[in-house]
Amino acid sequence: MAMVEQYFPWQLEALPDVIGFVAQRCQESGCSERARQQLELAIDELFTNSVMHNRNGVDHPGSPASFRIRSGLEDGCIWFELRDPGEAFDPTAQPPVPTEEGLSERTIGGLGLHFVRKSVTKWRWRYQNGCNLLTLWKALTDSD
Amino acid sequence: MSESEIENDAANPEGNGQKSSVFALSGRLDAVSVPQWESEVLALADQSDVVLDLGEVAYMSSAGLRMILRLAKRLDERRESLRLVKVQPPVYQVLEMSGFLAFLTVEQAS
Repeated sequence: MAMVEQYFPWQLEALPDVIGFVAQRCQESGCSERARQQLELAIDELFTNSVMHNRNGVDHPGSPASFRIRSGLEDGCIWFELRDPGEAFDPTAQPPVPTEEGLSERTIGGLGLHFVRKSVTKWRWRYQNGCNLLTLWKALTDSD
Repeated sequence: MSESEIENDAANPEGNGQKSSVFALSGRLDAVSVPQWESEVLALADQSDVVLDLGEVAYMSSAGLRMILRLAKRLDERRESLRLVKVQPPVYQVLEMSGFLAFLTVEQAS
């Protein structure tokens, strides 16, 4: 499977197209159904977070910024690299949220990155040339 | 878009005759679709014995969970119950990962 890249409007309305791209790449890779579901969830959460929180001050009126996704295969894993031109934000460095609390103690929010951690085999963040670059790897045979 | 109704709850195994508020959602529950459902779902906080039918929900992200948590908290303040029924496997797995199974009543799709 060759490396492919695609650009999307950096807007929430592009989420269905982003997920469609992820699903297509997963299908081409031959990864398990469970791996596909987990990658869709992880990239949904990351794209949504990026649009909702990283965009501060980098909107360009009349020329919406783009969100780039690259994808390929490497060492038995499918990988996705997500790039946005937003403020630097390292999701891999965020503290885990507690998931053992009862209903009254539960706070609303914070679960998105928890799902990403649970869904990918490994992930890496860097900030380069004014862009967040986040790479996710998922083993093709992963069923957990 | 939605099916909101107050009816005798056929899904109530106890058959105690209590009226339930059954609300069916469908499609994908993500950051794009949840705002379209939220006002109707949160309006259920005034009802009794609320049942969310998720039989036609194939996918849920944290945006959907946030909406359900808000509803559950508001019902809990009134000592009212919330049940999720006909939950599909991918949605059940998300509920499991979130830890929500510890405090929500969840019935999987048969």
